[in-house]
Amino acid sequence: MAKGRVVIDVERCKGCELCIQACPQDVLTLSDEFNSKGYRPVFLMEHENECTGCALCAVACPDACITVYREIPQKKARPAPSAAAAD
Amino acid sequence: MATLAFQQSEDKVLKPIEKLVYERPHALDETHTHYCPGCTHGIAHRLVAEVLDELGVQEKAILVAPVGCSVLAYNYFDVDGAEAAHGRAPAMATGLKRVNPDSVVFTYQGDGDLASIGIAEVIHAAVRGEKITVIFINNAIYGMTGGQMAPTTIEGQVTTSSPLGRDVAATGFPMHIAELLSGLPGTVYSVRRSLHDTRHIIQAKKAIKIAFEAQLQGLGFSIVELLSSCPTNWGMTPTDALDWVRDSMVPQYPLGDYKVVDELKRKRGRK
Repeated sequence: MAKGRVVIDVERCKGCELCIQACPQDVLTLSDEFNSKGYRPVFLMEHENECTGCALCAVACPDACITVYREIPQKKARPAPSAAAAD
Repeated sequence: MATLAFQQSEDKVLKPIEKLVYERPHALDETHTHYCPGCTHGIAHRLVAEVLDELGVQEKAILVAPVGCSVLAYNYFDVDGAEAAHGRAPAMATGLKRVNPDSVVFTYQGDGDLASIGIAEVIHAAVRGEKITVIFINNAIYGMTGGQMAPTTIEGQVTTSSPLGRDVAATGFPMHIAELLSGLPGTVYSVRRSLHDTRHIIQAKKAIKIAFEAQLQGLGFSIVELLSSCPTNWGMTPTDALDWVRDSMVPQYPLGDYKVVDELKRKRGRK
């Protein structure tokens, strides 16, 4: 499954937990620390279930503080053509 | 701001190893909103901004802000804006659209603003078939003033001015705006959507996009009613409030398309 990554704008986050409810992989949780507004912002956990970059957290976020990235599947390295030409 | 991660491949060329899936829409300003945590006003703002981005009309969009919790909406959208007197946003939008026919004029109104004090303005704007788009936020309560009963408060709902629950014998029945406006000939698009989970949020965005397309085609008056939550005045957590929307509001306010003119149906069929 594709791997993803979310970046949270912690100063904008209000800790409403709607993204945590929306996440199908359960990889988001509230921080123990506070932001300057006094809310506990959400963060991406290191977890056995990995973020897939589905962006449902961003769809649910009322404060538009989530940016989502997804890994591009890398093509397998083909054998170098120069080796075949040398024969 | 976060940036894409890169990786150096064998041929010494930097290639991105990931792609951007979602970022904050450009039509939203960088200002932090004053809304309570979990308030679905933020979701509705974001959806409208995403649609303005996708249609490429940010530069010619004009927002008419209401009175209510979203009174400061002009600070949160990076578009031109005007502030109307309580309930008079459709009247002001009429004037703005008539003198700037090429602009995209939309109002963003709550239920206290649109369904109560401003009901005359929105009905007459629809009757005249004004080519404006109305985003109507229905959260069944007056938010800014402290949780009083609104015209859209459902039967039995406890508010600060109906402490025993809304008694329909004394205060009448909840108002169904999407159905009401769908009966008027000037309305070309009248639908109700909800914001209580991601699937319905995505459906709501599609409806908002069609409403703006109706305006861009010059068809007439379009309105999208969005069922929203008010965790603070309902006295619930944000997640419980969304469950309450699903369990209590959606049965009272059925989701659906109440009026879609044929021009919009054909367009949707082609896609």
